[in-house]
Amino acid sequence: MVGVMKSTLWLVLSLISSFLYAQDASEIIKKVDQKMRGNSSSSNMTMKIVRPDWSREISMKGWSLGTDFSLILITAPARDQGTAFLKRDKELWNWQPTIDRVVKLPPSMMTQSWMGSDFTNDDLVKESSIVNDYDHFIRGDTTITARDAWKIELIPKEGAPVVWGRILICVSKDDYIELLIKYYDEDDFLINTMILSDIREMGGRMIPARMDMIPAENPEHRTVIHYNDIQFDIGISEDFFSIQKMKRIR
Amino acid sequence: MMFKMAWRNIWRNKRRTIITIVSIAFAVILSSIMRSMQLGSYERMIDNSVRFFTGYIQVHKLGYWDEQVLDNAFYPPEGLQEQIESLDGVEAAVPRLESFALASFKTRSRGAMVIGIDPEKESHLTGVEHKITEGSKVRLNDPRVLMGSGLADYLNMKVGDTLVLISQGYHGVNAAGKYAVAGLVEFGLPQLTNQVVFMPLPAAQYFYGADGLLTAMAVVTDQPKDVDDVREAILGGLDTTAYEVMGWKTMMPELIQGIEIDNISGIIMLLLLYLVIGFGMFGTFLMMTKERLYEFGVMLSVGMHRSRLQLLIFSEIVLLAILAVLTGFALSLPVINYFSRNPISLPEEYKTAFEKFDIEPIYAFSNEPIVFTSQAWVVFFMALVLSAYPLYKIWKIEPVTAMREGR
Amino acid sequence: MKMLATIAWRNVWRSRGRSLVVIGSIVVGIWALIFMLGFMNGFMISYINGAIKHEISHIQIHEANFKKDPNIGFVIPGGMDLAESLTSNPRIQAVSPRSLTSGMISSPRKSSGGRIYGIIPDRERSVTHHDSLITEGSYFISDLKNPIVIGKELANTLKVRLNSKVVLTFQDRENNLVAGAFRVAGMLETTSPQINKASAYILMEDLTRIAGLKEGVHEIALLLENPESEAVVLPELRSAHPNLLIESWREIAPELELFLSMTDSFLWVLIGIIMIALIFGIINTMLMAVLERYRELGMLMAIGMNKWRIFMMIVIETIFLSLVGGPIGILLGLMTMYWLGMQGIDLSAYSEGLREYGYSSILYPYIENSSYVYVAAGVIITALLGALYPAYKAVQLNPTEALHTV
Repeated sequence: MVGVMKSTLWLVLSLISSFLYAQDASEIIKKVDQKMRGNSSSSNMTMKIVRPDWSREISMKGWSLGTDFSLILITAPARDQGTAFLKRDKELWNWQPTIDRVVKLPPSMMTQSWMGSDFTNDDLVKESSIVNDYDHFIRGDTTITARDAWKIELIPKEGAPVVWGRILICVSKDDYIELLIKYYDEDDFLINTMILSDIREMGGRMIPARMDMIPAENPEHRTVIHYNDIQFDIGISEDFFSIQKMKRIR
Repeated sequence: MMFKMAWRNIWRNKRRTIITIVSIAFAVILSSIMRSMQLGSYERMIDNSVRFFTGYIQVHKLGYWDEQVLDNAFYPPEGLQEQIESLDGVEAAVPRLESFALASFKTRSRGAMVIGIDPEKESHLTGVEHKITEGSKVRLNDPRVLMGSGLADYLNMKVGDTLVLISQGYHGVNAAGKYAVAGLVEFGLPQLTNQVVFMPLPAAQYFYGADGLLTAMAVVTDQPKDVDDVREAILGGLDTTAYEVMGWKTMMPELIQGIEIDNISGIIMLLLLYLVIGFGMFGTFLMMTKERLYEFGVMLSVGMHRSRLQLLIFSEIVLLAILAVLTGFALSLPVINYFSRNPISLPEEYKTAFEKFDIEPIYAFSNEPIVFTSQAWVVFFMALVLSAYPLYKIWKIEPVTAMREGR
Repeated sequence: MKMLATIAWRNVWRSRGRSLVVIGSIVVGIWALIFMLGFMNGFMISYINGAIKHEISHIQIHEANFKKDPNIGFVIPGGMDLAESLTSNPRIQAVSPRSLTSGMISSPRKSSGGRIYGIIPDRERSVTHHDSLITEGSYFISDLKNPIVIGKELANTLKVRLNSKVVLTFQDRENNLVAGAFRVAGMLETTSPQINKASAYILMEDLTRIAGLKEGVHEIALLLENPESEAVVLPELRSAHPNLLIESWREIAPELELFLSMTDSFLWVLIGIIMIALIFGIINTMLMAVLERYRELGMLMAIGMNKWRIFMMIVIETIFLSLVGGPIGILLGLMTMYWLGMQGIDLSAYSEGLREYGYSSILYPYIENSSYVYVAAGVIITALLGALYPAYKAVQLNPTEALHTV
């Protein structure tokens, strides 16, 4: 009798705590998401693509609203200068000033790499899905460059159109910043690693100013994004993110 | 000595000899013609497919064939084109820069394959200029392009409209450009007609940010059989750690298998022919034996050993066979040579299917030496084998019976 | 005339050797031609059938604009109903309605473009028999949700296995991007590179749901009971549905037609060559025979038989020989075709190449019944023609000379 009660109690307690934990994990992820996007932001970035035989540096300006809208304008090098990318929810458009043309990216281009980097066009669009397409679980603690962090595991929900088997995100406990993201396939092979570092105050918030994306199968390949400066809450609305704006933005 | 007698015997009865020689010679001619046509059709199949898709040989950056992406393009070494073209047996060296792009016009767009070409050299390969259905051809320095009529249809474009191409270039640079359409092309394969855009090489290199780069240098040889030698020669002049040189057999293994299969059926056909010919030859020998029974009977009864008679007859047959095979050989040479240069056209009903794919609707003849020599040998041996009948008969007959039957 | 015939008949059986040889030539000629026809037919049929059976079917129906612009909005109006009504047509063996679009198939490592088919497994399998070509997994039998069947080569390119997850991305009718996750339920290996490398099969209901369509039949594939009935069914369907694009396999895959033309045109040449070989064999044999019968013929002429009669005698002898050889040849041919038709000729020594190229490794020779008659008639006529020259030569003889021959 006592034994049964004890085990039932234990069961109930662990259920409650895992329920609490689950809540916590999702909340953590939501906070992280909010943090990086703020409500709106505008930034200056540099992306460097590193390969064994060559490398390329691209400068760009970016604007975003929530997780559904963003606009990126390429400012250097000369050949790419003036091209822009507009994301509205799940759709991506591309503006080509030299030929005066707006193109909506079809599925075939979505899976291609973005500007030759280790990110795909799809990645640009799918960033927001970590909240909705996955279930979140806390798997423990860790320390990364002297910061305490949670290890949170993201398991795709049934039917969610994402290719990953699971994603591991290490979130710093102090400021809810993503420090490390690992993408695994369903056989638990590591496919991509993203390292977020150089954490400092920019635009009034603590954010990682540097992101490295490293594909596991080609460790000599790497894409590095630096935020040169960023401002939050700049007061833009959805209307800002229009095709006309994309064509006129400078 | 035996042969002298045999020789005299042969010419003693001219009619019989001539009939026998004609029978054997004809066998050689017929089987040579059949084999020549078979090999001719394989050669043509190879030539057509190889020229159309890959060329006989291709030079790429090492690793390009396994991963055919623009980033694996290469800078051709100084003078590579001239160097290759100066080699024996090379018809042309054709440079190419290939990749994908989004093609669009007004509101419609579709994925397309962009092939940067040297229009003049390309005529040795895909012969694009002959496939133009509307409009005109382009020159090397043209800013205009040729596009597949299927693609133009889909985008609702006509000659003179401006095609927009967007893609990712070499090392990921932005590739965007507008090109006026000079002409429309059509190929037998709808997949190609629905997808392809031919652009002059310099324009393509600029578009992809790939100045001076090529994805492949295709080589067209005069004769298919020269491929291996030419390939060796090219390999010799290149740094093999940086480049790869591939023959069509590596690039299109399915073609080899296709020919294999055709060859199997071809050999079966040939065997059937041998069966029919063999029977005919056997008939001739049978009749010859019958006709000479009396003669054999006489020779045996005056004391000639059977084995000597056999040897004599065998020698006769050998001489006949040699004469006949050489005659057949000599006669088939001019006939086959003539047809290999002036092939026979296919009957009307088959023409359309061929012309759709731009394959000449003809019966092709091969004049490879092996066509003649192999058949000559086969028929020669057949004759020798069939001579077993007369020899057997000689072994078995009783002289008196023979003389009686022979009357 | 009757007497001539009797003489001819006795002549035939008098010299058994010669007669057997000529009969033999005729039998061999007929048999060789039958075998050749059967073999080449079997060849062509197995190639074409491979493509028809597993890939393109006999007839395909699309909405008029679909081929040009494969927008997912171009559905066949009332597609499912049309499919139903076609199943009751006695000439049509099986019907498969499909949803069809193109898009990207992605795995964690790679993406590849291809055609996405939304099918009804029971219907589809009766038309394309893909269930017999499954190499791993099953053909939509398991309970997996959102199952997908792909070619083995595609699976290798994407580096996925059974039960792996892939994401399909395509466009709805407004060209907005839609996507869904699927699990690999089975892997397929066919003779078609298009299917092996660039096709994916999912349930029709899954495709239409993701695309936001209520009903979405873009393609109806038909398998006929008898391939010949294409000539009847095609015009019937076209006049009943003038607003739809109805095509036969010849129009869908012109390279098959090319293959047929190539093989056919060659076949005629081969037949010609064998006939020529046959005629020469007979001419030679008969000529030799005439030589052998020199004395006998001379005798006949000496006793008063006129040249015309001698000529006819030889011709009639040949007719008899053909009448004996003909049926034997046909019988042998029939037996061979029957036996091989069941056994098949095993070409599996070359099987790998064959598969790549679209043949199954066992070839079943096939020949139409009318061909037997044509072949026999052709050979007999050839034999008769072959007898003409020797018969002519026979009557050129000088009787006295002949009588003195030894």
